[in-house]
Order: sequence, then structure tokens, then C-alpha cells
Amino acid sequence: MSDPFAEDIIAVLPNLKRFAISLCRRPDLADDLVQTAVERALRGRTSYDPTTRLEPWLFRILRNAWIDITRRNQTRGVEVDADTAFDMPAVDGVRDIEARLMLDKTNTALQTLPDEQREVMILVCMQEMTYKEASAILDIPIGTVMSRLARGRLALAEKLGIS
Amino acid sequence: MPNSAITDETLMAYADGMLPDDEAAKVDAAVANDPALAARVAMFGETATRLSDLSQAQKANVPAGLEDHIRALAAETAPEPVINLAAHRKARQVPFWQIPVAASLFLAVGVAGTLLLQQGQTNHPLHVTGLEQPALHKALDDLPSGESRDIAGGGEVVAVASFTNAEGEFCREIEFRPARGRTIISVACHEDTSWTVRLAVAAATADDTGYAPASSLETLDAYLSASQASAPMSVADEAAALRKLTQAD
Repeated sequence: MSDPFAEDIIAVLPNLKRFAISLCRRPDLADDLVQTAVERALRGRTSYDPTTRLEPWLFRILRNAWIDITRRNQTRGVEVDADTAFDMPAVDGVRDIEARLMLDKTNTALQTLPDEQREVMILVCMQEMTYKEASAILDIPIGTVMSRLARGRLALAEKLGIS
Repeated sequence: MPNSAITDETLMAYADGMLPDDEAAKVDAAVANDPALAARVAMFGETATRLSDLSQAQKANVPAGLEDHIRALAAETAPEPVINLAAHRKARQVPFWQIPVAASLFLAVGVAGTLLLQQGQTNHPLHVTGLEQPALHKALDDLPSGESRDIAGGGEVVAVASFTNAEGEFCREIEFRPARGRTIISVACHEDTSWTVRLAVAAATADDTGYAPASSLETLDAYLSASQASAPMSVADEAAALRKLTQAD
């Protein structure tokens, strides 16, 4: 008998993985982080309020797991460079060279931003969280989410030459 | 600059479609008259598009075994579907101060026929264990544990739990709450083709709730433990056992 809660988690695993990559910038660490987060989520499943969206709840657990890991292991020191942090499809998906260059540029620019700005940009612009959801995930006021997001996007626009 | 009051945050929220309608309408009007503002909105929109494209392009393979791991862990951590006898009892216990000091228990064990219990001053015979009431019989046959059913003529029957005894017989604990008088807690087991009552406790009640007080439940617990009753069946197991029963009948 399949458990709908487990299937719901499985359905958003790719999003969790992307968020994990963006936090730890290493695909191998990201797998461990996703696994840690889903294990915590399942063990703490009674604390999930089914009237809310599952994804922000999982993101918050994942982010807290990441904070725990960095506190314990100080892995933040072993960041790898931005290019390997994102697995870009080489053949399928993006074939157009220009489009691919644009993605690389966006990625590189994003990686140079301060963590606090990058984080909200990833949540809102890449993971499609609302400002409110991002505020709950990061445990910061919604006004702070908006100001970090606006500053981050202005900086990104400047780096990418978007006027 | 008439529109200098509009912050970057507001323009961004406008570009993201996160503004409430009334505020969005104001920005609409402002942007329509100010190309600089419109450009700023477009810039915010463009950053969102670029980041969204990046997100789409990211591969996000998850390790092969993770899905199975999640399913296995989910089975382990699933909220207990088993009917918790103790919890059921807790819910129906009356506070101890409401239990009469001399809570009288009438205990009848191993009686198959009709048993008459004298009820205090009324001398009103109460048919406890014959389960001659078709409604009670039917409840044993098909009422899922945790549910109650009104009985024609007054009162209700509550199915508490199902379990198997040491002999492997399918047994059920039910409560019969007549419209008037004592609540009867009863354990009946299915022998051959019919139900036989193994235990009936007529619980004294201190108020009009008819709820069985804790002391009578201790008696029941002692009986269940002595008869080596299994843990209560899960909802699914009970449903399967009941289905089997009605098919066999």
C-alpha cells in the first residue's frame, strides 16, 4: 500500500535536489543533504500541517539540515567553483549555444552574490516560492525577503548587462 | 518626480505578480506614465526569467535508491493505524471523582445464554449477554471499531476493538449504552457461526453519560490479559476479518 505522504515527497525530490545544490554547491553533498532532509521530514511527519503546501515545509527542513551540517562539519570551506555546482545538460535540453552561454553567465553571476541574496533569489525566482513562503523557510520577515530579493536582482541585472 | 514614492520592492512585487489588486492598479497607472519605471519593472521581470530558465536547465537527478528508501521509511513512520485500546478507554473514562466509592461491577464470565442482572432498586432485568438484540448482533458483524450506532428503541452500541484470543478466535469488544441504565462492556468471540459472549461488565455510572468508569475497565483489562488477547487489529485487518465473517455466514 503506497503512502501518499511518501509519494508527495518523491514528487518534489528534483526541486529539493536543486535547492540543495544551490545551498551547498556540490552535487555529491546535495544528495546527502536531500536524504537527510527527507528522513527528518518523515520522522517529523506529524508536525506537517496538511492544509499548507508540502514543498516550503520540506525546504525549511532541508535548509535547517544544511545549517546543522555546516555547523558540525564546516563544509562551507570546501565549496567548489560555480561551473561544477550546476549540472548543465550537455546534449538534450539546451542545444542552442547562445542560450547555453546565457545560462552559464546567469549561473556565474548568481554564484558571486552574497548568500543571503542568493538564497531568496533561488527560492522565489527558481523554486517559485511566494515571498511569504520564503519568509517562513528562512525565518526572516517578509520585508527582509523583499529587500534582499530586490537588491540581489538589481545586482544580477547589472552583472548580466540587463538595463 | 511624481513616482519616486514607488520603491524597488514594490516594482519587483508588481513584476512578480505578488501585489494585491488595488496596489497593482496604482503601479499600473504610474508605470503607464513613466517609461523609467516601466523599464525598471521590465528589468525585474527579466531577472526572474533568466533565473527561471536556469532552474529549468538544471539537472536534478536523485540517487537511484532514494525513492525506495523514502517509501520504506514512510511505512516505518506512518501514524499508527492500529486501534489503540488504551486511548479509546482514556477517552471514555469519567474523571475519578465522579466514580462512586462503591462502584458496583457485575461480572459474568463464560456465559453463553441469557443472563439477568439485577439493577439496584429497580429490579429491572437487563439482558446483557444474550445479544439477542439483533442490533447488537449486527454491530458485532459489521460496525468498525471506533464507531457507534444508534439502536432502535434507544441507546447506542460502540465498537471498541477487535482482536484474537489465545485460541485464535476473532473477538470484539463492544459497549452497549442503553438509553437508561448501565453501560455494558462486553467481549464476544466468534465461535463456529455465531457470537458468544465471554465477558460482560455492567458498569455503574455516576452521571448520565453512561460512560464506563475506569474501575470496570480494569476488570476488562485483567480479562483481556488472562485470555491472551492480541493487540487490537488495524482498521484494515479488522475490515478483512469482518468481511470473511459475513461471507462465511
